[in-house]
Amino acid sequence: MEKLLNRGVKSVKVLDIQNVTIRFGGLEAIRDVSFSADEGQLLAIIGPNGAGKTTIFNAMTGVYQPTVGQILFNGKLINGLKPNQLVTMGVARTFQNIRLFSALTVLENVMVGSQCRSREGLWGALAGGKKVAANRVKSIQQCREFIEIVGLTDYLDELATNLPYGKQRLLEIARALATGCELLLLDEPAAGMNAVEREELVALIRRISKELNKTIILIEHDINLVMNISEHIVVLDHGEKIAEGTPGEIRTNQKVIEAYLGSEDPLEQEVV
Amino acid sequence: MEHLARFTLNWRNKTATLVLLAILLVIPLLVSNEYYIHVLITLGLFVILSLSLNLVSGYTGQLSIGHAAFYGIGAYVTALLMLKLNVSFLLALPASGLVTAFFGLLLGLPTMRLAGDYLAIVTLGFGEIVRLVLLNWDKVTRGPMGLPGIPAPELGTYIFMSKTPFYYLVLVLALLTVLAMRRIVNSGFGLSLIAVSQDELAAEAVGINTLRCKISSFIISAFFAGVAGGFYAVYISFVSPDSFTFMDSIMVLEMVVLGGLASIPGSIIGAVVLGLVPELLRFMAEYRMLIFGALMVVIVIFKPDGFWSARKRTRNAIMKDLVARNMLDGKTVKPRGEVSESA
Repeated sequence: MEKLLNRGVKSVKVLDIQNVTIRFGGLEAIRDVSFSADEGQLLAIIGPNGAGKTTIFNAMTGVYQPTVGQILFNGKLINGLKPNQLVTMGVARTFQNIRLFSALTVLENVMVGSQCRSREGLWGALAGGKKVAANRVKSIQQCREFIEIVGLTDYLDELATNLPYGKQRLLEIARALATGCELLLLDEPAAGMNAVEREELVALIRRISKELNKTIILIEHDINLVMNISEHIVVLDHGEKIAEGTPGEIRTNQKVIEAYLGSEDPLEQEVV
Repeated sequence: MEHLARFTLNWRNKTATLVLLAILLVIPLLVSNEYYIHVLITLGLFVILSLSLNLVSGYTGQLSIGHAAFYGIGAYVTALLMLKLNVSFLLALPASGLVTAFFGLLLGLPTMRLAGDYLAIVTLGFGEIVRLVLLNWDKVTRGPMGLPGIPAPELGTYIFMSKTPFYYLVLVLALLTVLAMRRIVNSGFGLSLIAVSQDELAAEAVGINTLRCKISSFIISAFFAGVAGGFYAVYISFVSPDSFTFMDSIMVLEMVVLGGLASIPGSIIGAVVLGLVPELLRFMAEYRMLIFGALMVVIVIFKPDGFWSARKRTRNAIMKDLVARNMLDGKTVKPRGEVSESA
């Protein structure tokens, strides 16, 4: 009944996870989890260690395949697609443990990201010519815009490996944006950042969400950050969804409080 | 000021290139000794081989120790086409490149599942299989006796009689290879190849079809090695399995590694140095390989990154090119060394 109503009123979900179960041999990492993200929404997935956050993330990006259930992107079934195919459809991600191309410069990292939209190919590269050059100019300018957005313009020609840790995370976001994604998945974007960097990151994520109008799903351990920026929160524990709602609802949810060590106010504790 | 500096640099680079080209063009006029010309021709072949292997092993990061197989396939295809089917050299050369490229595709397929040492073993096996087929397929290859009497190339009515035209031909082929490799490497596709060699998972996550990249680089690499083989066949006018052994593969790999992985000048210098040293040591007869081995050890100790290692990347080559052509401004970029660490 509710489903029918929703279908009539709301537009297609950007991401729709339907009853997904992921098994590794006998281990059930994710059990019958469903949730969805609307266009332009900023959704967070939280949960204690080992709750299955990264596993469900990997399923969304094609690294793992759901054993049971469906994942829809803009109404299209994306089970079984490879990571690179998903990127060309509009799903981009960052990694929990930064994975940049360390021997490439900042600009080149972002250029690699924009590569999936370029139609230059090998023959274009070999033939050269005005048209190829014009496309390259356009592409580099776009890359520079993304670098500008994350505030790394001063580092354009610096090797990625020489960037401070926090800036490497920002570069990963720029690289993901350069793929022209519609849905951006951030895996613990604030990990290893200091307080100042975190503040900058929050501002950046807000900007990407509002100005670039991207749908964002993020996994994060920093509860303050999550409560601060997300519009909708999904809580996982032991591979199951135990709660879902606005930050206010999650804060007072009894199950969530229990999951976080059963303390009186776990959210405060987690902050440290 | 910056403009002037850039202009001078471009000018200096261009002048250096032109001078080098002029020297290469007049060498046959100044050198009358056939042996020297022969050495130069073999160096040209080594340059093509090391550049082509550099694409796979240097840029894409796939260790291949079966490169001589491509060289051999190219040589036999040209030899058979010209001997048995009377195909003209001008057709046989590109044909051998294309046939070899197909074998490049075949060798590229295992990269779907294999990487690193395991892939190296497959390429080693490929090299041996090709050699054994050439050695045992008597009806076609005449086995160990080889294929003699491959006709000299003809361009119209001109027939290649002396070493000089061969020199110019290999020069053209080597220059074309350098140009093609430069364009391939300094492109979005080239960046994708480096990305694949750095981190395959991350490359997939930004939309690169890593398998396609790896197979493409094997195909391109095989094409150029096959063309080099085709040239070798008509130049020596005799092919036999002895010329395409495991040791030849290792030799080319040494050129790439000692020259400097993922560096075009490196591959050229590596080919020239490692091609030249055994010739220079020829007076020592059988002791020369001993000295050669010792030299290699010394080089690896003192120049572990190669003669001309891929220098630390700074300004991206594509962007540099566009800025030089005034199609893009380079203003937004601070010069290197002024990066402040704001934490």
